[in-house]
Amino acid sequence: MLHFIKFKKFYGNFPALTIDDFAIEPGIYWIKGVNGSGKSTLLKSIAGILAFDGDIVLDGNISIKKQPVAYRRLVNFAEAEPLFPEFLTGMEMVKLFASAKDAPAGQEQQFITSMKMQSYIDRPIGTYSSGMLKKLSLVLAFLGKPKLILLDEPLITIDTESLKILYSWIRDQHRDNGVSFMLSSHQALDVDEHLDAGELLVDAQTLQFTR
Amino acid sequence: MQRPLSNILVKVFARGFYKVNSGLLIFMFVVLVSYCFFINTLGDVKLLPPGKELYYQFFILINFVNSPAMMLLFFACWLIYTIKSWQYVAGQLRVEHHQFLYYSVLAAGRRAQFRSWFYMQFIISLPFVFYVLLASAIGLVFHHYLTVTIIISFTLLLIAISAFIYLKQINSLIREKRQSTLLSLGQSWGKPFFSLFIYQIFDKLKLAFVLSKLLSYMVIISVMFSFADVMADSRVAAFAILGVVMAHAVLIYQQHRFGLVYLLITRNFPYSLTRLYIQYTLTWLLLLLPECIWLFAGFGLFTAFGLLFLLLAIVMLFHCVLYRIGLAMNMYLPWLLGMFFAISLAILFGWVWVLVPVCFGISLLLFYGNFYREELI
Repeated sequence: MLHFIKFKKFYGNFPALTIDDFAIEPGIYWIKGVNGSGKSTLLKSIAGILAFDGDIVLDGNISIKKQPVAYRRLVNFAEAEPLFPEFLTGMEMVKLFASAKDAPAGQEQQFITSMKMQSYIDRPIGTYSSGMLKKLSLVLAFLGKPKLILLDEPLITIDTESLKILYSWIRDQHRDNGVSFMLSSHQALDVDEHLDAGELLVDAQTLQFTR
Repeated sequence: MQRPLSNILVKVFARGFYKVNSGLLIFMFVVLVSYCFFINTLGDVKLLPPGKELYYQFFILINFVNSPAMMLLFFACWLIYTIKSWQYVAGQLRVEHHQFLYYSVLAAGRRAQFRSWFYMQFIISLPFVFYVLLASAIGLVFHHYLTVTIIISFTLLLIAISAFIYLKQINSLIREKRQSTLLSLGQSWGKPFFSLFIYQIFDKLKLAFVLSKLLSYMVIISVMFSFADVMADSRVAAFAILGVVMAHAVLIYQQHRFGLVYLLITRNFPYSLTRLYIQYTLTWLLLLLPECIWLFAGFGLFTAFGLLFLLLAIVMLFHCVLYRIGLAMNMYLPWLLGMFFAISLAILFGWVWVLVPVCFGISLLLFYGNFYREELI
C-alpha cells in the first residue's frame, strides 16, 4: 500500500527521520512513539505537507513526487491540533474539502449527522471549542474517495461517545471501501472496537513494525 | 514597578508586536531616512556654507517637529501606530494561551496593573519615544520650550490612555467576538480557495489593508504629479507600479503567513501547481482592483492591460520569493530591497515590457521549484 524509498527528513542539519526501504501492506496501523519521536512529522510527510528527500509511493505506482495531484487525491489527513480560518463556517470548510477531494454529492451529511454536528456546522469556526474543531477535522479527513487516511492523535480532545463513532467510521471504511488507516496515538486503541490494527513504532529516527 | 508583571506583559505583548510588525517598522524607517536625506528639503542650498549640508539635513531629520504641520503628521502617525498596538493587544488577549492573564494579572491591584501596562506601552512606543527624546534634546538646546512641552505631554498622554484602555479591557469579562460587518454581508456567498485571503483581510487585516491602499495611492499620485510632463513615458507608470507593489509588501507577507498558519492542511489538496499559481494570481487581481481603476482611467486600453500584467508579474515575483525564503522577515526585507533596485534599474534602462515575461518567468520558477520544498517548521 505504501512504500518508502530512501526517505529522509531533516530539520536544519538534524536528521528527524530516515526510512531507507520500507513497505506497508493495506490495513489499519497504530503508530506509536514517545513525544518528539517524529510521529506527526511522519504523517505530515506522508500527507504531502512537509518536504522531504526520497520518495513515497502509494499502491505501487503513485509517487508523491511524480504524481503529486493523483497522490493527494487518495491520501487524506487530519491534524492533531487543527487550525482553520476563523471566519469560515464548518460547512464552508466541508464544501471546500469536498470540492478539492472530489467527494460524491452529499457524502458529508452522514458524517455530520452521526457526529451530531448539525447544531453548529453553520457557525463560524472562530466560535468552536477544541472538541468541535477536532470533530470537524475528522469529518474533513473522510471526504472524497481516499485509499489512505492519516489521523494524527485522533483519540485526544473528543468525548467517548464521539470516539466510538470514529471507531465505527474507521471499521466501516476499511471493510466496505478497503481504506487503509494510520493513526498516531500515545494511548492504545480500544481492544473492544476490534480494529485488528498493526503496530508501527517511530523510534531512533526511523520506522519499524512491532506487530 | 511590579517587575514580574511588567516583564510578562512585555514578553507577551511588546515582543510579539515587534515580531509581527518589524517589517512595517523597518519600512517606515527606510522611508523616513530616504525622505530626509534624498529629498530637496532645504530649497536654496546654495546659501548654506560649504560642507554644512549634511549637518542641516540631520538637523531637519531630528527636529522637523518645529514645523506645526510636520508635528501634526508625526502625531497622526504615532496615533495610527498606537491604534494598531491596541488592536494587537486586544487580539492577543483573546488567544487561548494568553487567557491565563485574566486570572493572574487581575490579582495585582489596579494601580500596579496600570503601571505595568504603562511600561509595556512605553516599550511598544520606543521607536517614537526615541525620536521624541532626540527632538526634545535638540529643542531644549535651541530654546523651543513650548514644542518640547507639547510633544512630551502628548507622549505621556498617549501611553497613559493606552494603559487605561488595556486595564479596562482585562478587567471586563471576555465577550464573544462580533463578526466583522463586511464578513456578515458576504456570509451567504461562496468562498472559493482563491478568495480566502480576501476574507481574512476583512476579518483580521483591515488596518493593514487600508494603510497599504493609502500608501499605494499616495505613491501613484506623487509619481504621476512629479513626472506630469513626461506622462507618456511608460517608465513613469512602471515606477508607480513598482511603488504600488512595494506598498503591498506587508500584505504579500501576510498572505504567505495565512497560508502556512491556517491553510497548511490545504497542501494535502490535489491541486496542481499551475492551478495554485493561477488561484494566487486571481487573488491579487481582485485585491488590486482599486489600482486597476487608475490604470484603465489613465491609460489607453492596450497600455493599461500591459501595465496590469506588469503589476501582477511583480506581485507574483514578490509572492513567490517567500516560498524560497519562508517567513523569515529578516531575509524578506533584503530580498524586497534587492528586487526593488533590480526592477528600478530595468525600468530606467527602458526594459518595461521585458519585465512582464521576466518577472512572471522567475516567479513561476520559484513557485514550481519551492512550493513543496519549503521548510514549514
